[in-house]
Amino acid sequence: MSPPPAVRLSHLGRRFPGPPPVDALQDATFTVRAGEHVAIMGPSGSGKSTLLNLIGLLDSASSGVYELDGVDVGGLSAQRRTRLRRDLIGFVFQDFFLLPARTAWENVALAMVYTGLPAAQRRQRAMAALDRVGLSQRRDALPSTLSGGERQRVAIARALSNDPRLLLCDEPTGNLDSVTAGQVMGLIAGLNRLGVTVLTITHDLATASRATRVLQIADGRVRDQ
Amino acid sequence: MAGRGSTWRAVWSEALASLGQKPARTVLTMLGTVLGVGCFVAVLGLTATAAGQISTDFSSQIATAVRVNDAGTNPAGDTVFSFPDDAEQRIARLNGVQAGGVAWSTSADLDLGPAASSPAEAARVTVTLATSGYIDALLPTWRSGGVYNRFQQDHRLPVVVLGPALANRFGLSQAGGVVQLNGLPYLVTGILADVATQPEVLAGALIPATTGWDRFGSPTVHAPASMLIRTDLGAAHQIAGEAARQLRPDAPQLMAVVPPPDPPRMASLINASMRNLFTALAGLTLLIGGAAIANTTLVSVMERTQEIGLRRALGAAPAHIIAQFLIETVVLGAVAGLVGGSLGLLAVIAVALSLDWTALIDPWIVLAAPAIGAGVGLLAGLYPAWKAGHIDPIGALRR
Repeated sequence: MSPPPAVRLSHLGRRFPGPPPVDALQDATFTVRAGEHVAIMGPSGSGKSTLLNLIGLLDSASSGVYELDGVDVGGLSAQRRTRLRRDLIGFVFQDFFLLPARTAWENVALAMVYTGLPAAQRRQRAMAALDRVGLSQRRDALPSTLSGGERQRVAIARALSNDPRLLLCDEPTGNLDSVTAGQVMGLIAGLNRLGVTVLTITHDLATASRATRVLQIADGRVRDQ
Repeated sequence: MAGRGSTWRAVWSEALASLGQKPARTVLTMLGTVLGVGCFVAVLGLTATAAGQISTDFSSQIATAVRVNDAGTNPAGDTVFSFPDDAEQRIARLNGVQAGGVAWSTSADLDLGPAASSPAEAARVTVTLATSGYIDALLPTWRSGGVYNRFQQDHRLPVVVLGPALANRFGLSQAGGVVQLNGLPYLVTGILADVATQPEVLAGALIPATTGWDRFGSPTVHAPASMLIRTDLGAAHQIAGEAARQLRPDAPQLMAVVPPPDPPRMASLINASMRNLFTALAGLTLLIGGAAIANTTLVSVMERTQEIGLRRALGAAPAHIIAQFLIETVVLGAVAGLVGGSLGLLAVIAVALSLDWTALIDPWIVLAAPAIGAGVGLLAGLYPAWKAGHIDPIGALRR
């Protein structure tokens, strides 16, 4: 039996109550298979972030069906959605969101605080994740002493530390120069080759070109390219 | 192995780590609660210490003094004197009496005579006509000499005990000299240095009641006689109950006995009023301390909105966020309580040492200080923590 798709959306919509009400996402229907690397492209205000928030279980849809790893999340309690987000999804943000007073490994370990792992295991897994992104030698560095690319690699290590099924990347190269951006996307592509499903939201063509499939979003509507 | 217990332990660690990130702010945030709890402990300790001292002072001075006033009247004339002639001997027979005697005061223009430092000076001086037992009951300390004796009293000899102020006016520093009062010579048997009660006698002269009866006047309704009885510690109320019948078994109603104030009760009253006042002040300081924690935590929540959003994205439930901020404020409060309690204790000890008092403090107050601080932290953290737990992660990450 084949594994369920990592993400399956069916006529998903998100309406923000007004006045006037705004349909930020309308009738989104697509599937992301396990192990796939999909990029979603669109201009500012097209609904990319709304789609990412829905897929990342940070927000709830107004209509339609969303299945994550075969689980229909529509009727789930907030607690269950939080647990699914923690266990199945890793986030990589454009702004990195590293805690400035924590070292690189402590920032990575932050993702495991709410998993119930003992402190020793959290540290061990954080070190392993930093090793995967090639930053084991900077594990005790504070974010302020890291370059932009290194910060994003720490953020990727944090997203990877829980062994997520789905890596959600929100403009992961938005704050990086082209060379560093290429390195970071190479890293993400490498992770994808190792089996991690990746969904990247971007408006950058070079970033999207690393994906195996690109979806376009405009005015809240998604279409397969 | 993963588990819920480990998650809460991790939340606890996160809270402590967050506190350690800005130590200067953490210390300043604690300051209000440190002062509040410190004041609280110091107030309770100082009131207990002061009350203990008050009890000691009352016991040794006021609580051993019984006064018996003459309640008699005399429709036939001015003189009122209901005490028996042997009042001193009668009262001395009661067990627990150290000394006792009768006195009344009169005020007159006295010719200080040529012996005075200022010649031909006249002055109005209070003369107390007193038995020697009365002077003993004042617990006097002497600059020179002592009280007149029984013989001098029985034979109505012209002797006098001078207060230090009057002795200075006569230019006397030693007993044994002769001074003239209203033109008559008096042998000075003693010069007072101080008395435990009735300090007004220090400004005047004391003459035997027997000697002064004719020369300065008998007691009247307006200047009645009274008896002062000095008792053993703890015997005053017993003596007060027996004095009237001992002095005048035929007419005890003529003897109006005034027992000493009840020292424990008075101490308790003073203690309670002091404690109420200062506890209110300490409570106010605690309130300010709590407001400081609440305010700083609220500002911290605002500053850490992105961090809260990140934690939510990483799988923190609202309860985890609320718990983290509450732990931060409770730990802040508890540490502030510990520091404040210690400072309060040190203040009590320092004050007691400087005044040569015995420091008294209930150990439970000191032990409870961290709990009081933690309680303040908990109350102060409720609203900011609730607010943090309900921050929308999407909005927080977008900031």
